[in-house]
Amino acid sequence: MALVHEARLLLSCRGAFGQLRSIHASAALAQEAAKIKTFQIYRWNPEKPGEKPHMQTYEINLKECGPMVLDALIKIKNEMDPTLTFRRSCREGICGSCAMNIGGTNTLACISHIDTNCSKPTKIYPLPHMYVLRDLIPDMSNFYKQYKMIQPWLQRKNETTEKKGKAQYLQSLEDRSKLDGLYECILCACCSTSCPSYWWNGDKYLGPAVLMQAYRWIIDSRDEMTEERLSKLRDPFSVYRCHTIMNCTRTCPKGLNPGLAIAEIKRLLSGLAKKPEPRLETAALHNK
Amino acid sequence: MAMRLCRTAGPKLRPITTNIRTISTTAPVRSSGGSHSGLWTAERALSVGLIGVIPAALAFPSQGLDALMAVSIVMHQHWGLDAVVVDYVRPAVVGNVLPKVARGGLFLLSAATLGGLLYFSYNDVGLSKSIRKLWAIKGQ
Repeated sequence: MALVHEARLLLSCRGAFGQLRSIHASAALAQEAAKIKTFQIYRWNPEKPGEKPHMQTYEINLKECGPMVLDALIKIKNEMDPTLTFRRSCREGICGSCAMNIGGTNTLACISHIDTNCSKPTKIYPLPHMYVLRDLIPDMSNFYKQYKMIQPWLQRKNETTEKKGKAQYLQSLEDRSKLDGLYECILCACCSTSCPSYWWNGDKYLGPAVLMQAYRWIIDSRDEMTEERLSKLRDPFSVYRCHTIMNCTRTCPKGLNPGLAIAEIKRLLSGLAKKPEPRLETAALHNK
Repeated sequence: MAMRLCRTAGPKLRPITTNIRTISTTAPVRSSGGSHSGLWTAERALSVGLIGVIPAALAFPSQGLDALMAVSIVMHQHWGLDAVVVDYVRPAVVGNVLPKVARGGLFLLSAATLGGLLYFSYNDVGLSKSIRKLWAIKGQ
């Protein structure tokens, strides 16, 4: 019996201590003044055809919100307005879903910090000059079709002897390093939709994101369709609408340089530069 | 919407896209043929050339260098403005006629500019000498 008493006593004490701690914590929370940040978000609903696009204001206490703009958007959707629509997935800057225009800059909501200056509202728009499907969701079909046009896969000329999956293709370290700064692109379209040339001629000009991927396959030492790839870009629009405005490089949330890749394509097209021969015999393991 | 998709026993299971109004977007098109790479190379070469031609013409005023400067400056501005016309006077916005009119007008403008500059170099003090005179103007 004594043991039971002792145990009960201990239990009740622990409960009391727990309560004390929680009271203390809530007191501390209440002491911190709320930090209210205003967000103005572009809204448009295709199911209400008469309604024009408008900006809707939301106020968020930054003390109760994560540090990133995506945290704020998710908080709004969860707690304030479930009709707010946006794309998001990985929340760590690797999927490119949450590309949008935040405070005048195309970037990924998940890796951009909320501006903690509460005197100014943060304005959020969909990617500029794109057809909007709803709220912050742009229609990406043109962008993806253009990506498809550059045939973003490895192409070899001698596919009869080089049976797919039989052996690896060889690539020297130097040749591999040429793909650095190109392969990291997540196709979020921040750069393309920041480019005035892409705004005006987005139907025929491929745009920085797609052109950087075109260059990624052109310069790959294992790819043999270099001439064919280049000849498809030779017309006045696909590449040459680039006037080196460099908004693309400036806005890229991954810190890549599409402007440089386009310049390299122009050099290859003009003949000022040539793609070097592979340093290793690419298909050596197939020919054994 | 998501709830409806999750329910498998529902009598009418509609795909989520039926509620979205179809929106016509511009289809990507391959711009019809023609190589632009030669023109681009010529533009770069001319831009580099201007770095030498302009100082040379100003340093050693002569009719030959004047003509060279006039031709290269006019070509440079013509190609630059041509890109502006192609970018902004687009068939998708202004129809099929106006872009042709605009490019034709630009040709006339460039031709008139070149004619005027050459006329000035041959029948007056000359291009580089008149530019040098700007530095000779003294305030009254």
